[in-house]
Amino acid sequence: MESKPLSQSSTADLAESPRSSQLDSIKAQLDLVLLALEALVGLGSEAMLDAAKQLGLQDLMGDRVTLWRLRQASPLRKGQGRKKLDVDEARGLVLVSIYLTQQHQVKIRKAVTLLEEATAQNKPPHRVGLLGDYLDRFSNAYEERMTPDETLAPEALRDLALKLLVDLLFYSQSGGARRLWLALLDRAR
Amino acid sequence: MTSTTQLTPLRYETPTVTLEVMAREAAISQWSDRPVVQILRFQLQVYPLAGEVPPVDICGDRDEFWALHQAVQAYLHDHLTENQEIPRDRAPHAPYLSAEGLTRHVLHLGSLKANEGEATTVMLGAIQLADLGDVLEQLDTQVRPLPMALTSSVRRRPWRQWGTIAASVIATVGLTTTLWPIYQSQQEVSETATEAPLADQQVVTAPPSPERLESASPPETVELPEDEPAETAATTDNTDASEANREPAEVGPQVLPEATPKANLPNSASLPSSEAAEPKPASEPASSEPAQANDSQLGPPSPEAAPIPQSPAPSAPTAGPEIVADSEVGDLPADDGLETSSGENVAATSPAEADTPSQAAIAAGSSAASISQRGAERASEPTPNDSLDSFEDDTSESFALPAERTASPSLEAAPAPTLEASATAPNLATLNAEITEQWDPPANLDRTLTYTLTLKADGTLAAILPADDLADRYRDRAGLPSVGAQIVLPGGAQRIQVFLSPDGTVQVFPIAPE
Repeated sequence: MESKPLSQSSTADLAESPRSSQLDSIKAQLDLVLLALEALVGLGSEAMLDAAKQLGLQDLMGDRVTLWRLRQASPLRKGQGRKKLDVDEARGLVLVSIYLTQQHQVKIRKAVTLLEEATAQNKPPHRVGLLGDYLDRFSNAYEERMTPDETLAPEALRDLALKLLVDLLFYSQSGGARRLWLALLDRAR
Repeated sequence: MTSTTQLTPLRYETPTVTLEVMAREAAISQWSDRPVVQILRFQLQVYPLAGEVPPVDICGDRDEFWALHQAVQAYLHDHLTENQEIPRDRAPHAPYLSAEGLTRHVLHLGSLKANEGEATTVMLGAIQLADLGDVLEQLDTQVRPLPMALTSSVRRRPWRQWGTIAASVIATVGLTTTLWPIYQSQQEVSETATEAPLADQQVVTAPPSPERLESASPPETVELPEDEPAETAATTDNTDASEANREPAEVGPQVLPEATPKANLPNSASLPSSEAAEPKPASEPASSEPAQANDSQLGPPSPEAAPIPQSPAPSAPTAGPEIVADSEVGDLPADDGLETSSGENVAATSPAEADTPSQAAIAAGSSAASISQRGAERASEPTPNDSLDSFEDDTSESFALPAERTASPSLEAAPAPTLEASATAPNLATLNAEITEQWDPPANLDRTLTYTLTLKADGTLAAILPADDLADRYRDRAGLPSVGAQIVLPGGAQRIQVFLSPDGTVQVFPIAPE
């Protein structure tokens, strides 16, 4: 996948936590959490299906098509995918997301630690190896999958990616599923 | 019934945050899927991500833990939902967090203390904040912390209930036996009965029927004015009794000076002066100690008592003369007394209000502690109504009563309580009994643990100061009341020393203000 460089703007922008309207939809937020995970640890749909199996959620997402249809429910997605997501499906995506964040907690913590250090040193995150890779992968996946109507400026996309990265840290901790669920409900407009 | 039982140390660790709490499991846990606990103390240590910097150490009690817990959880939620507003409705000194960028967060300590220093904020990175949320979440997963205190009064309930039953039985039997002849004689000379008591300290105008005695209801009770302030001052648990509470505040200071010298001597146990009984070993059952201690502090009976320097003076003379008239007032319906006694201490503080003996008695009615004294003093006196009054009240409040009541028969000549004694002694006796109940000395303990309880002006416990490391180590197992619990009357002792011996003995002494 071709890497597309993000903005070279300073980290001063990070001083303000981004307000991401992209996260205002439950369906969009769930899809983006998984997208951030994908970008950070490089997992694919197989890992998600494995997680669903581990959690006994095969009925909800037993194969790639089902999973793809669930994620296509995001209003940010290109195409005319499935637009509805019932409570059980949303819960299933939450559980799978949290399961995966906990599986990859070490890497999430490492990435956030690097981000913290970079921020403290006023160093652009994309210049930190792990973070740069993450930002690039996230940016590419986003632009590849999301509708052009939701295109973000590079700075906004970077902020969204970093915001999601930090969120992953909290979701990977004890009570992560509850936190994500409450965040979904609270953010839904 | 909700009561606390055993203490449980809990510890949660993450790479950058360690949380240790000392919790007391609540009996209501049986109704919950997880243990319901009351957090007594907590210690939070936040370590840096790297380097040799010492950790930030934050300690506190239940209220502070809960405030921190709420602040962190609320902030995390807001952080994840991008609600960056600092809550406006938080308590003035409550801790809270604010964001300083995506990965930096400021914990504003409020009333919390970090490293026992003057720092007001602690900077947290995202990792540390996440770990902080994690340890709290681990705690919430394992147990259910109670957001409010199980008050000491609640903890006393078992005592109170059993004590009340015991007291009622003893009182009923004892008083019926003692008073029946009086009642009989009064029946015979009913015409003169109301005037005769003028010479006495107490007047019984309408002797209660045996049935009433049985039911321990306080009909018309006339008490000496001297007793009024004492009884009022001794009011402990009735926080609603505003007037009564004011009076003790004035009386309080008097108490301390007397009690103090003895207080500092563990083994002399606040035993007083003149007719002070032999100092009872603190190891004695709490049931007998309170009365003993009270009496010792109380000194001589109020009428003939050595003049008490201050406060009570006004009320005594004023109310005194009216006692005579009160013998007539004593015909007031017993129901009046009952109603009033169940409420607040109406007449206790003001001579004007205390003009009727029945009122005076009523005023003292709600005070468990005062009741306990009176029970001891008057059980042997041929004034049934007083005791009845006390016992009636006990059924609702008194906890220390049973002890004193039990002891009362042996105190035939027990003097009436003075103001000083009644202001604190019953409370301390209650405290002593309560701690004795809780104190379960560890097998390997080989010396006495000493604690100093610092009280606020309103009589609630402000802090517990262990005298040494050993005491500090056993602090949470010492059975001491929780911070914030009502210990003495407002205006009472400001500091109390508690000695816990390996043999289970508990001694409690007030410390004189410096």
